[in-house]
Amino acid sequence: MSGLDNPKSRDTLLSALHKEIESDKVLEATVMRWIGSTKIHQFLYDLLRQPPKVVIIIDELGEKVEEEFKHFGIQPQFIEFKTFVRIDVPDVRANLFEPISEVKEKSITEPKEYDLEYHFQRKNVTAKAQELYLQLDREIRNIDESVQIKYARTAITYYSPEKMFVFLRLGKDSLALHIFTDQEKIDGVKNIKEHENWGSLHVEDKSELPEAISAIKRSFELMKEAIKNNKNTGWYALTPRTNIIKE
Amino acid sequence: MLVVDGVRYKLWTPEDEEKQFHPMIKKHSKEIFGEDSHHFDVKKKLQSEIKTGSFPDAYVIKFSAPSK
Repeated sequence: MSGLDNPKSRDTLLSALHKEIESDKVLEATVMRWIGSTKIHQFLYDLLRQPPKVVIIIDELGEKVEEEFKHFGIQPQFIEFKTFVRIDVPDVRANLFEPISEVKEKSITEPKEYDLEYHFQRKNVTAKAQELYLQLDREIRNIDESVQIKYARTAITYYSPEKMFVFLRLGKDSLALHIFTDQEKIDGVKNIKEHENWGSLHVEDKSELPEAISAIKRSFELMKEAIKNNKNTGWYALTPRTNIIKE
Repeated sequence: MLVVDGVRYKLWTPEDEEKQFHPMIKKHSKEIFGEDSHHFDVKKKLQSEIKTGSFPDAYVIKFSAPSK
């Protein structure tokens, strides 16, 4: 958001916002009432010189998303916006979210510690899936002695140890993983359209473990290589939008 | 699953962020940000003087509350 410090960028935005207000007479009158003045341009001019607030609205908020923004210049506020569709009438929808105007400051509490037991209980993971996970976990830790594990609130993550290369969620009967691919096609790994340097894979059965382990080993190698080359490996590092901006 | 008065709903995940998710946020903008806000669907890139940029999906101005 440092673009707002650039006078040229700020003026372009000011013009666009002002134009939109002026083009709608009802909105223009409403804005005048809200700000208690007819000087809309001056109001916008002053407003854009103040630090902005960044709000990230997302359909599913997880540790990975929050972690991505840890080092963002401005700490954003996250809103999880879930949509439900009526099963018998799919056009009827219900939305679940916390309005920003009513969001209260979070109280400062000691961070909760998560562990494997928490994750097994969280999704009521079956004995078969627990065994599947424990086998996969052993193999991931055996890739290299430097591999580190972190139990987050919604996922179990593995680090290279500098950066995360596996993001694993336990399901009741299966394991869902996102692994770093650096855009490489890895057997058994599906590309993620919106996040091009990460891929997804599912493990539901022991027979799928060898392919998953092989893919994770490759992911570890790619992560090491990316770190060496100082590449941005994050979940949001390479999206279709990033490419548009680059162009 | 969500059940409201016996009517069953299932969680829906948008497949296309631009076409499905963004319009919903715009539609519910006042419920999210408050009645005194307005959602501006202007696509303007914010570019710093050293040419790094970001492309916010939208801008929302909350008119009656002072920005903090």
